[in-house]
Amino acid sequence: MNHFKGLIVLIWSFCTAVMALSPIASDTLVVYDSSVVELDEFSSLVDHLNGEFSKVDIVDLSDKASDVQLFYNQKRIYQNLLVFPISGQSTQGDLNALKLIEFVNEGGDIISITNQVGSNSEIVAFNTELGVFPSPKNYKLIDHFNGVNEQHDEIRLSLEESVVPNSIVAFNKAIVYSGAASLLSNNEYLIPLLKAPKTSFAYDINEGVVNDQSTWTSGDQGFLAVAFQGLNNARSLWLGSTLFFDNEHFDQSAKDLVDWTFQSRNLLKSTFAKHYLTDDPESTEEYKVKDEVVYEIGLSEWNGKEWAPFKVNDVQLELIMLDPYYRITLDQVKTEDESAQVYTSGPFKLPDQHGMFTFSTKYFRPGYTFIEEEDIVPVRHLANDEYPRSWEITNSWVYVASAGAVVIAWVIFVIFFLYSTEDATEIKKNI
Amino acid sequence: MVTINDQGYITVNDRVLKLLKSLLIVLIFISITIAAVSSRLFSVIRFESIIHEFDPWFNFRATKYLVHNGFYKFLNWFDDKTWYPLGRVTGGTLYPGLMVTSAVIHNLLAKIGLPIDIRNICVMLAPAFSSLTAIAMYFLTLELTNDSESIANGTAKATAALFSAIFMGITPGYISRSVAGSYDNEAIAITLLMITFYFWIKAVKLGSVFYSSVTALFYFYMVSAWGGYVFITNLIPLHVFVLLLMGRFTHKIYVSYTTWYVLGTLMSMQIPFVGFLPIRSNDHMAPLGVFGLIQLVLIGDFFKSQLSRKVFIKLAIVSGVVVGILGVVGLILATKIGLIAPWTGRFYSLWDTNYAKIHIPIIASVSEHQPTPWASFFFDLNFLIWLFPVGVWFCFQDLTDGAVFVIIYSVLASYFAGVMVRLILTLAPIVCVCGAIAITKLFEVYSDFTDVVKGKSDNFFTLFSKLTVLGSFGFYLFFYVKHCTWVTENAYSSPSVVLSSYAADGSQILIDDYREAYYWLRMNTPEDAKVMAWWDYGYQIGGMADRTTFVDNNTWNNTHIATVGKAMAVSEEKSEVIMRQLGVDYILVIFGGVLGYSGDDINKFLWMVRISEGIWPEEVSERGYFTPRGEYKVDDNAAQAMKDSMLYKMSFYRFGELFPSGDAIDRVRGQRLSRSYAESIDLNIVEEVFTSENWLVRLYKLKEPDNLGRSLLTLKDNEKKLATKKGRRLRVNKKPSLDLRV
Repeated sequence: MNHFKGLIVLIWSFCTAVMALSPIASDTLVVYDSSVVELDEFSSLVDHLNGEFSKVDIVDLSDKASDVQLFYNQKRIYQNLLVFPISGQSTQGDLNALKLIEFVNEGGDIISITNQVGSNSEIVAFNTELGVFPSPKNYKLIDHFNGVNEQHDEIRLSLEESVVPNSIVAFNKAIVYSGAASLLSNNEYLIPLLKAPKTSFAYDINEGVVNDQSTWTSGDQGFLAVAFQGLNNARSLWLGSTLFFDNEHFDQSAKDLVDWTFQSRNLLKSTFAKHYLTDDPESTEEYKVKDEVVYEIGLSEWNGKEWAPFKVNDVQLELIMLDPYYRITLDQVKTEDESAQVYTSGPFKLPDQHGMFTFSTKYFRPGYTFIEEEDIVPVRHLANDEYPRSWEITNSWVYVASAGAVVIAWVIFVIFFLYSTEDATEIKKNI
Repeated sequence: MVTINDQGYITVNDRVLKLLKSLLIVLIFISITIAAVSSRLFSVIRFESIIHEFDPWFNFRATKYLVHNGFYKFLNWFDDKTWYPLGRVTGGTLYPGLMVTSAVIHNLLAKIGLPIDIRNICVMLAPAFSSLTAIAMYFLTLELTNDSESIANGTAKATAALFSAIFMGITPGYISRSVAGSYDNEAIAITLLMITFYFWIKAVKLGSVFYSSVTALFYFYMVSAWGGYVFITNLIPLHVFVLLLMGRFTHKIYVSYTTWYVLGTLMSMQIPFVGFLPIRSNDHMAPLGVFGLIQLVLIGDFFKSQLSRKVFIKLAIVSGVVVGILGVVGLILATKIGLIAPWTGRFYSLWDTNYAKIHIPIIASVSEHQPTPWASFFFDLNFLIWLFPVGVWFCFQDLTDGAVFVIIYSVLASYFAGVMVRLILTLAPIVCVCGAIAITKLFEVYSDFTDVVKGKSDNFFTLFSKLTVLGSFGFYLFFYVKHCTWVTENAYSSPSVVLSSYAADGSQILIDDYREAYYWLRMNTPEDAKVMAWWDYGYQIGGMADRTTFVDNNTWNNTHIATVGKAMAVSEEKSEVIMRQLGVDYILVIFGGVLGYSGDDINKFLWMVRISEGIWPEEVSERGYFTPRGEYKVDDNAAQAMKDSMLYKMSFYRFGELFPSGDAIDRVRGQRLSRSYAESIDLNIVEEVFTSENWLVRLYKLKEPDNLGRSLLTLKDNEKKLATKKGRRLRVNKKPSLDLRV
C-alpha cells in the first residue's frame, strides 16, 4: 500500500513539474533564427506584440537546444505563431508542416515569412497546403522596369497596380520590395494583398537564363503578401519579405496585418438568429405551408475594445430545401441594442411546399470572420381541418346547391311515390 | 335427457344433441385457434418478441406515434425523419387500419386493467387475427355451400366449413404473412377480406340492405387496412356482371350491389390515402361500370315490359350504340384531360410480367413482385393445390350464386398469384375453400360404410378400396400439418433482422449485426444525424436507430431514390457533390462478403445503377459495371466503373486486412481479391466509423469539407507525401502547375 502511495506521489510531482514547464498561459510564440535575421531589427514589432497580446515567448532556433512546442497533450498551447525566415530543410520540435496544419485546424493563427535567405521546407510546405507556393531559395524577383538598384531586384511597387483591394490592410506608403514571390492556387479562402508588378518575374538565378523552366512567377501572377482564413476562422499570413515588419517600416499597415492575423481586427459574431411566425412570435408550433414568418439575425463587430453593431447591407437569408426557395437581402433594424445590429427579413410567406427547410445565413466576406447560421425546421402540410370549408369557397356554391337540390328532389319524389300510388288506387276504387 | 323407447333404442333428447354439437364446434374452434396461434409463435420462441423485416418496422413506428400523440396528430402526421429533406405526409399516405386496430386494442386492454406494452400487441396482432380468420372462413364456406346440395349436402356442409377453417389456420401461404412479429397490413387484411366476402354472399342471397351495409362497413375497414382492397373492388362487380350474363340478375342483386357500391365508395373515400381514387383510377372503373350497367338493365327491363318486342329491339340497338359511343368518347376525353390515368405501368405489369423488368426498375427490384415459381405454390399450399381444381369442378356442378363467386375468385386469384409471389396470399383462402369442399365430398363417399355393414355382395373390395382412399387421404391430412409446421418453422419464422445459422457442432448461432449497428447509430450519433442507405433499410433505420433517412421502403419518390442510387454508383468525386447537396452525415452499407450473406448491397447494386440510369442515362450506365466479357466481378478484374463506385469501395474498404496471409475471398460471390489489390482500395471523402461483428453492416461518416479548402480526394495522399523529406523537397522546389489566379 505504501509503495502504491509513493508511486502516486511520484507521478503527481512529475506531473506538476511538467505542467510548470509547459507555457499553458502563453499566447504568442515568435520563432526566429538569429543566423538569418537579427531580432533587434524588429523591436517595434515585438513591442507591439507585447503591448497587444498577453504573453510573448521568443525562441531562437540557432540555439540547437531550444525546443518549439505548439501542443501539450494534443492541446494547442499558443494562439498565435510568428515565424521569421528560417533556413534549412528541417526544423526542431513541432515546427513542421503537418503540425502547423494541425495548429491552424485547431484554431491557431500563423504569420510566416519566407524569403531567399530563409525558406525552410517545412514552413513552405505548410504554405503550399494553403495554396501559397513561394518561390524557392535561388529564385529572385526581378523587374527591369521598376527596379531601383543595379540588379533590379529591389522593386518600387506602384500602389495602384500592386495593392489588391481588401478589407484587411491599406498600404498607403510607397514600398520598395525585395524578396520572394509566390504562386497562388485558386483556393477561395486565400486573400491576396499585394501583387508583383506586371513587368516582374521570379527566376532561378543559378540557371542564369530566363526561360520557361527557370521562371517561377511572371507578371502579376506573382504575389508578395497573402492572407488566408480557414473555415474555422483561423487566420494565416504569408509574407515574401521581412521588410514589412522591420523597425524602419513598422507602421500602421504592418500593425494592421499583425492584428488581423492574430484575431483582433475584422472580427464578427452573430449574437442571435431566430425566426418566428409574424402573427404569433411566441408560438412553438411547427410551421405549415404558406405561413408568414420573419427571420432576424444580430451581427456584432469587435472594434478593439468591445462588441459594436456591424452595419452592412449585403447580409442575405436563404431558405433552402435541396435548392434555395428564397434569397432575401436583410434590412437593418433600429434597436436599442448597443452591441449588435439587428437585421430582419421582414414578413415573408413560406412556400407552398412541405419539407425540411433550412434557414441559412452565410456571411462569408474575405477578411471578415465567416458567419454561418443554419437552422433546419420542418414545414408541414395543412391538416385535414385547416382547409377552407366548402361554403367558404364561392366556386363550390353551385355544386353544394345542386347536391342539395338532388337531395330535396329525392325526398319529394319519395313522398310523391309513396302517396300518389295510394291516390291512384282510391281513384280506381271510386270508378 | 336420455330415454329408452319401447323398441329398445336409446334416444337422446334433441336439445342435448344440439348442445353437444355446439360444444364440439366450440372445442374444434379452440383447437384450431391453438394450432393457428402456436405455429405462428415459432418466431418468438426461436428468436424473441421482435418486429420483423422491413415494413412492419414502419407500421410499428407509426403505431407508437398514434399511441403517443392521438388520432388527430396521427392523421395529419408530417414525418420529418424520412425522405429528408422532402419529408413525407405520412398521415395521408398510409393505410391507418392496422395502427388504429392495435391502438384501440392497446387502449381497451389498458382500460380494463391490462396495460400491455404496445410492442407486444403489435407482435401478437397477426396470430390473434389468424384465429378470427379461421372463424370467418368457417362462416364463408358454410354460406357458399349453403344453398346447394350437390356441392356439399346436409351435414357435410359444417364438415367442409370446419375443414376450410383448419386449412386456412395453418396454410403456409397465409402464415408467411402473419407470424408473430410480422406486423404488416396483410395481418388483419385477410381476416377482413373473408368477413367482407361472407357478408357479400349473404347479402346477395337475401337481397338485404342490412347485410350489404355490413359488407360496405367491412369493405371500409378493409380499405383502411390494405391496398389489396382493390381485389374486393373488382371481384364483387365481376360477380354481379357474370350473374347478369348468366341471366341470373334479380332485384336482390340490384339492392345488395347498389347499397354496397354507394356506401362502400363513399366510406372508402374518407381514407386520406385513397381520396378520389375510387372515381379516378382504372383499378376502380369496374364497380363504377357495373353500377351504371345494372341501372341500364333495370331501365331496359322496364321498357321491355311496356313496349312491343319489335320497338324494344330497335330501342335496345339504338341506345346500346349511343351508350357505347358515349362511353368510349368519355373515356378518351377524360384520359386526355388527365382526369383519369388508366394506362399506368402497374396496369401493364399485371398483364405482362416482363413489363416492369424492362420499364420500371423500382417495381421490379422488389423480390415480392417477381413472378411465382411453380414450386412455391406447392410449398405454400401443399396438397390443397391439387385438390383446388377438384373443388372448383364441384362448384361447376351446381352453379349457385355462391358457386359462381368461388369460380370467379379462383380464376382471378390464380392469375394474379402467378404474376406476383406475394399474391399467393389472396389465393390461399379460396384454395382452402375448394380443398375443403373436395375432401369433404371424398370423405362423404368413402367413409360411408352402410353398404359394408348391411353386408352386400362385393363388400371386401369396396371395403378395401374405401380404406385405401381413406388411409391415403388421412396421410395427406397428417402430412399437411407436418408440412405446414415444417415450413413455418424453417422458412417463415425468421425476423430477418436477426439472422441465424448453425455452427459446426449443430448449435444455433444468432447473427445480430443489424441491431448492433442500429444501436450504435442510436447511441453515438447526434439526434438529427441523417443516414444515407439503400431504401430497403430506411424503415429499419427509422424504427431501430431513430435517425433521419433519405429514402425508405415507401418508394414514393423515384427521383430521390435514383439520387441516392447515383451517390452510391458514381465515383467519390461526383458522389461528394451529391451527398453534400442532400445533407448526408452517415452512410450505411450492407456487406455480406465476410459472412456469405447474399442479400447485401453489392448484389442489389445493379438495381441502384438501373434506377439511377433511368434518370441520368448519360452519367450512369449499367454496361459499365460489367467486365467487357459481361461478367459481374468484384475482384481484381472488376470493371472500372465498379472499382470507382462509392458502394464498392465502402464494401471492400479494409477487406484485405481480414486475410493477413493470402488473398481476400468474397464468400458471397466466391471471388478472390489479390492481396495487393485489396489493400489498394481506399476512401477519401468518408471515414469508417463502425463495422459490425460480422462485417454485415458498415457505417461511414462523410468528412467535413477541409478547413483549409483542400480537396478531400487528394488530401490524404498529399499529407503522406509531406511527411517524407523527399516529398517535401519535391513539393517545395517543383513549380506547381496551377490555373491562372483570377
